Amino acid sequence: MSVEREDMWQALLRSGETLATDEDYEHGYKREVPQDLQQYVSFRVSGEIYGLPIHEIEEISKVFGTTHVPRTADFLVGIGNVRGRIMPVIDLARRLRLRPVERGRTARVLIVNLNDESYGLVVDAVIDVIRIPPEKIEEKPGGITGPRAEYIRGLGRRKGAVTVAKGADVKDRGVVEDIVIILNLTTLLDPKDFIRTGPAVGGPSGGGEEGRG
Amino acid sequence: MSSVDQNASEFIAEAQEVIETFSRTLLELEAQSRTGSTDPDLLNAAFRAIHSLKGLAGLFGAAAIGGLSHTLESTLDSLRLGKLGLGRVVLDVLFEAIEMFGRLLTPRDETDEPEPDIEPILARLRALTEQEAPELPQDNLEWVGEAILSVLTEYEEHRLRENIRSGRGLFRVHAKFDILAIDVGIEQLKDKMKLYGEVITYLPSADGSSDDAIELDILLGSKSSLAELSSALAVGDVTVHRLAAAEASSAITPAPAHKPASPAPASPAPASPAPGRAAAPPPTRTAAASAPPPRPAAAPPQTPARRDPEPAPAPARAPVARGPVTPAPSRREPAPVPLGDDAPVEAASSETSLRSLSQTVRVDLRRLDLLMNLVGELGLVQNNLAGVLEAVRQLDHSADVSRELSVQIRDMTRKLALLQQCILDVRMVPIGQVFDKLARVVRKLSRDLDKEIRLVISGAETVLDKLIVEELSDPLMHMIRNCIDHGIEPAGERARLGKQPAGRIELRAFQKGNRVVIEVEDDGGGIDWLRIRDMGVRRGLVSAEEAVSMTPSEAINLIFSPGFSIREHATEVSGRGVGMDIVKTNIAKLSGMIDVTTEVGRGTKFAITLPVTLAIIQALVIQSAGHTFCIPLNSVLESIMVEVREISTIEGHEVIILNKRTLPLLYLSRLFALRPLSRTYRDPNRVYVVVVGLAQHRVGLVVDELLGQQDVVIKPLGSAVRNVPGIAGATELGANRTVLLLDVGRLVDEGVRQADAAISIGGSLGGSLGGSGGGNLGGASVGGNSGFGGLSGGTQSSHLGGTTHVR
Repeated sequence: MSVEREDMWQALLRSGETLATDEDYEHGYKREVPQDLQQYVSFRVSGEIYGLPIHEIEEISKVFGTTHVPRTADFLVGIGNVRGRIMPVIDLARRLRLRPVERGRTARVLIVNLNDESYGLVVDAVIDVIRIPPEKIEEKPGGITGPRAEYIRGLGRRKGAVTVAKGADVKDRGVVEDIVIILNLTTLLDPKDFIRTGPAVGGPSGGGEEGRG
Repeated sequence: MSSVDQNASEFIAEAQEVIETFSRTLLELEAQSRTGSTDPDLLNAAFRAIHSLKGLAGLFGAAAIGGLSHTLESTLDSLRLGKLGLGRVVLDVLFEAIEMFGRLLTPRDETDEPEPDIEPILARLRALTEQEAPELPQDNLEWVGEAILSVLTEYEEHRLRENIRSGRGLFRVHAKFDILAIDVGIEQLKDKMKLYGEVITYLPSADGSSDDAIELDILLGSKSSLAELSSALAVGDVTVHRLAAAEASSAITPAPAHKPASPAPASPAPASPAPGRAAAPPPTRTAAASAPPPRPAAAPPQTPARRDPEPAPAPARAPVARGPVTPAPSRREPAPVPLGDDAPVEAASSETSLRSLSQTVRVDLRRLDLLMNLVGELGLVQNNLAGVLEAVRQLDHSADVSRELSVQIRDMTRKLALLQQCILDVRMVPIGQVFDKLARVVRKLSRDLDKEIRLVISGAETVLDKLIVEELSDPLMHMIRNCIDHGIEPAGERARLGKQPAGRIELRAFQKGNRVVIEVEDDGGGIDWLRIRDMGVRRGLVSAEEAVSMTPSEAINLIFSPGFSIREHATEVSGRGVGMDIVKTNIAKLSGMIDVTTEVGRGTKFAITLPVTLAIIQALVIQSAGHTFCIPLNSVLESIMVEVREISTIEGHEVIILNKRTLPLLYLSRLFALRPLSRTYRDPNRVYVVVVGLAQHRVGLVVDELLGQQDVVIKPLGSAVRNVPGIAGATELGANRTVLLLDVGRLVDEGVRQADAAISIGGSLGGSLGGSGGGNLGGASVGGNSGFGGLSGGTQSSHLGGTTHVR
């Protein structure tokens, strides 16, 4: 399995930021970053742009094979194995109850870390790394209600043309301000949501995710 | 102690180890003191343990611990020298000292309590030594010979007297060892001699006749006859002589100047004890002495009396506590005692015990896990190499290379398996570690509740994964508490029932196949299932209607429900309704099972069945609807192929008759609602049935394929997927393929419940759906409902629903 940490570096290079090395992380890179330099990795899920703080992401990998786990929620693609580490892999589109789109070759798995455990998040494409000053983050998103609201930490805006990955929606190109939805990993990965409650009869149809790769 | 030292944790770990050794020894001594005779070796071991603790405390500047061990050491010395009898009062104080050590070792910053005051216990220890038993009139030992007496330490002299007092004969064992092999030789001889009696001392007899041999005289106290000893010990350069009053004049002298008597090695003089001559007549004896009268040497030879009727002591004790007593040289010129200021001690013994302590290395379990993971990954590399080998073989012109490669790969496979086994072995520890803690609990509780308890331990040497041993101590503690609090009746009641006044608790561990069984059995009142059932109704765990149809075993299983307690009011010891449910949960987490057998008035037995290790297990690899799963082989009873026509339906639930027993069938694909992954051809007339479970709880899992069995390394699932019912873990099956491991205990539970559901509800449901296959589907979905009931609220769930909830 070729894991593409390179992808993230490429994204970082495009964004023109100074790159942080592993050593920087170990020596408290995050603390030294001024507040207004908070960085987010942005990615695309079902046509919407989402973001996660860069320090929550361990690596970006190509899609790898997973094993279906019975009796779990439909958003759990299965468990995957990255260099001996076993982790749950989540289909973000399903988790956010978005309409799944056909995934192309740009699909990636963001390997994130929450409470010392790794999780994989399948996204349609990784876009780039952006800077959003904290004061530009809308803490309480007014427009979004319903089940999705709890997974959202805030809304950010980003200016300028999006370097859209090939094959993605072209509408986003331009000088409009894009909304980046910053996700909250703690609620997104709440263990109690993973186990399917109720009768053990199949969930929504379609999209046999298991056995990819 | 208050200053948190850099080395504090190292000290604490080591001190705890020593105290555990001490506590274990003390418990053994206590057991022996009941039978009347105590093993001097054990007292010595206890003494040495405390002595090394004192040394440690001195090194690390732990004043309180040092002070306590110093006083304790004096007490133990008095015990050793027979100045103090090992009675109940003394033992109480000694055990109290252990508790105090425990408190002293608790890091101060973790508790708000001030440093415990050791003065009271010190005072009590001192009081013990002050009221020493009056000196017994000294026996006349002159017949032994001045030459020997003059070199005996106080302790050795005491042992000599003890031996004579208990009617043992004295023997001089002369041995000659090659200087290079002396350690081995002495150890072997010592082990042999231990079977016959007690080694009182080693006397060097350095005559300088040979540069490459060392001669020794060993003073042995034994009840055996000279002939017996000679035939047992006198091989090679070992000869045995009887030492008796008449022989005193020619007694051996260890002095270097003395020319050795050079005993004829060829003839061990079997006739030397003249008949009629008393074996070891102690010239003056007090009438009060409890020892048996001296026995003539010519008495009918008795079987070599093992003095220790107890089963072999826990092996863990030996390496640390019992340092080999080095032969005499150091005795002459006592090496300077490290701490200078204390009572004379045997320098040799303290050195050895310190040395053996440092022979073990403490390793963080997580590091072992890491190693295990690495080995697992190496296994994957090896698989890949096998793939490469195949590729190389395709190119026929490189035949030599491929042969060489295959040889190397095979070699690597073997060594990898070995490496894996070694790492696993490192994780294994004897369960005795937990048993010792429990023995202390029993002791304390029996005092607190004023019930006399005899704890019988066997199988302490059974090894289990360290992780399992750690996780076991709490459940076992709960069970022991229950035994004492609920099981064992008060002494008065026991007497009325015609039972022994002392309650008996047996703690057994043994290996059974690739599982370890731990049994806790008491001879108390047993569990009255009707009482449990009624209590279950009163506590709202079951409805009155459910209760009516309950079987005894179902009722008894109620004790594992959360919130169940037979007590109306919580006591200090138990009755809060937490306990047995936690026991069950913890044991289930270790992929273990717990069974209860009970008989009212006779007692209760809990049997816990556990895998030897959690890290690696043998698994049966199966396939269902194209999905691959592993089933721990230790819960597989058999796997069979069943013709579809053999399957019959009872109340809408599919069963087969196997060995004249009805076996409910569970379709894995339905249980897990598996979507078929691939179209594989399957004989519609046959299915594979994997019979899983234990004892009465058996279920047949219907699967599509049996893919074989394999050793698998279990990897934990993250917190998100950990609690999926029916899934216990994951493993890798080569080529980065992740496969799930089934939680058989859980599936069996569900199966049993499903069968119940089918019987109670299936009548209408199965009937309405009709047909055999459809009927089962009905049963399955009903089972699914009640199976998940615990998770989705669990109001209607059956009596076992509670346990579902916890897990």
